Amino acid sequence: MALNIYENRGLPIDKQHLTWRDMVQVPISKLDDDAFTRVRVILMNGIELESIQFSRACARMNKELQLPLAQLRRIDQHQATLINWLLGADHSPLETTIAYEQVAIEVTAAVAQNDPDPYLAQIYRFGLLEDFDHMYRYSALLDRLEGKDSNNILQSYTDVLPGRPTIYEHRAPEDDLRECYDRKKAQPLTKMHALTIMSGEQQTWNYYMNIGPLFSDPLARQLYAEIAHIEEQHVTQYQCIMDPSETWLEKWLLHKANEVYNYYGCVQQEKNSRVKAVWERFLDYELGQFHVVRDLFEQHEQRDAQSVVPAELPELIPYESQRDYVREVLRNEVNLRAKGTAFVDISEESVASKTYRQRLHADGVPSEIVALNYIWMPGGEVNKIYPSTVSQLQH
Amino acid sequence: MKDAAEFGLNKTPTQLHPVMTQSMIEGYEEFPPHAEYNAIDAFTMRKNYIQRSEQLGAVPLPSTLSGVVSSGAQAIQGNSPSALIDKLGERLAFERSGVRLYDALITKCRAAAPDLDIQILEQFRDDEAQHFALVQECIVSMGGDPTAQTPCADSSGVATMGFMQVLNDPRSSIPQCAEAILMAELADAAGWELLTTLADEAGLSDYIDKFDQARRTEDHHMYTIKDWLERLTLNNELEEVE
Repeated sequence: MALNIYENRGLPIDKQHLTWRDMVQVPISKLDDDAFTRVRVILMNGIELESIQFSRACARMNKELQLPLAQLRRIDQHQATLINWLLGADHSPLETTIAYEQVAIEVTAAVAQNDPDPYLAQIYRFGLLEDFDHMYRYSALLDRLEGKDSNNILQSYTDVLPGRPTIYEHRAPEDDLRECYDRKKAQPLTKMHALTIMSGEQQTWNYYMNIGPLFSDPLARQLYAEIAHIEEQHVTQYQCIMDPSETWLEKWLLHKANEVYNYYGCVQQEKNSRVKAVWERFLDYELGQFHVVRDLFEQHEQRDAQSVVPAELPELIPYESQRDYVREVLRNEVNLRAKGTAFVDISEESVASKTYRQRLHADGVPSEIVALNYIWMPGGEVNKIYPSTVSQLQH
Repeated sequence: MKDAAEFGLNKTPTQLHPVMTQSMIEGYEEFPPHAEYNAIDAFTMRKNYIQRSEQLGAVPLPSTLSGVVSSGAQAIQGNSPSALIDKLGERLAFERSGVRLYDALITKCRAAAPDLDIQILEQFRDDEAQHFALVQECIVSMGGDPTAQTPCADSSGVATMGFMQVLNDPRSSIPQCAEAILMAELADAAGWELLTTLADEAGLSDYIDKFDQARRTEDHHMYTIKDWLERLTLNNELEEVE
């Protein structure tokens, strides 16, 4: 049954309290939990972090909103803590990286298929093939550096194959800009998708920039530097697609609606009962927060919040393997390149991006070095020495 | 009880997902790896960094070697006093961390029932503290500063970070913790053996026997933990371990 965001008022914000014990719960099991539980944990952390970042920027520009922004931002901080701390310490930073890329691939692929705006769907497909290639490079690094199999994280839901080679993903800034949706014409689903994907990519940028220096291996350090660069490009791309003429309060309202939308999707699909209880609790929180912002929006802008956010939430993001779709996109669009805000064939790529890339790659390309001739196989590349396991699996 | 893990729904085996796994393997037929750039391989790239890298840091100069004379300093006759100071610093740090490793295991045992013999664990923890004090005294006698972190102490600290993670994870079992402690004790016993040789070479006659005694104590720790781990694993009965 669809959730009516205006009829469900959720938990009042003065009752949204978490103790340290609430925030630091027993983590999910890296081994026993379904990979999509971890996907949701990572995505929802990203959604909360974006909410916080937006709130900070908004507060700097809107003196009169600083108090309610601070109040809601503090709750977001607690929520983000609880969610992010659900990841256990037995995930190495590189294993968590694999999980981040799984989020990027599976969620972006789902969004690309369902977005009603064909131009935005194209943008998602374009970004998808780049994240898909990152998975391949990081899997090679995990296997060759730590002797671990990325599929222990992926649980066979997501391919480990070359996508649009990372070496070709670095572009001049002007080729990372995109056209935005029209706030008056875009469907609610388009707005939810844009915020969701932008949040995920921004979180990934943050994560790579923080953990890159934790590695001792220079190749790993270079690979994180190289892929974090693409994440900066992706954040640039995705933040463009949201209409900048939306007012601050309109954007705030959309952020809160997007949190409700995504928590509701998690509640509907979560199999781990303990984690599901977290999603249910936070759905209730976000409904409470949404109504605070709705009141502010209607008070300040003298217009109905339903002109921005409809009563019923749009179609939810499905959490399931998108293998066939991703391969279809790979087959058809691996040779696309971005030129300005358009997508063109590789033959028409801009001189600016080619020149820009040449400078970056002058001393070697870590994404190429790390994955030279890499072919994923169950249990890791070391199986090449004793190939019996692989041959058994192939029959 | 933090006993050994049992059979359950571990989702990492590929055999749980035979169709999807087969599809992953076959994907390479249509989407094979292809090199876009091969001017530099991984070895060349890493070699370049290794050859141009700087060290983790320097061994702090003892005041004796910078001109201040002490009785301990006069005893240094080896070819590499810096190696001695560095390794002393490493043992100092390792023993100090060893105290904390045992603290974590004791906490876990106290929280779980049945548990290992806590009195023995406390004795081992105190031994680590005593060894820390012994190394500290030796460093001071040589004019060194025991508060310094030497390069080997730093490197060893990086190597042992995983032990701390295992011991302090509420989810880790007693056997998993014992395994981590065993790895630490194996390294510790070897470390004391090397330090005793270094002390002998340097003419630190006051400490050779003391260091050797520390090695024997660490050997005892190692064999005890090894025995416990074997019994925990083979019998899976914590009550029998004392």
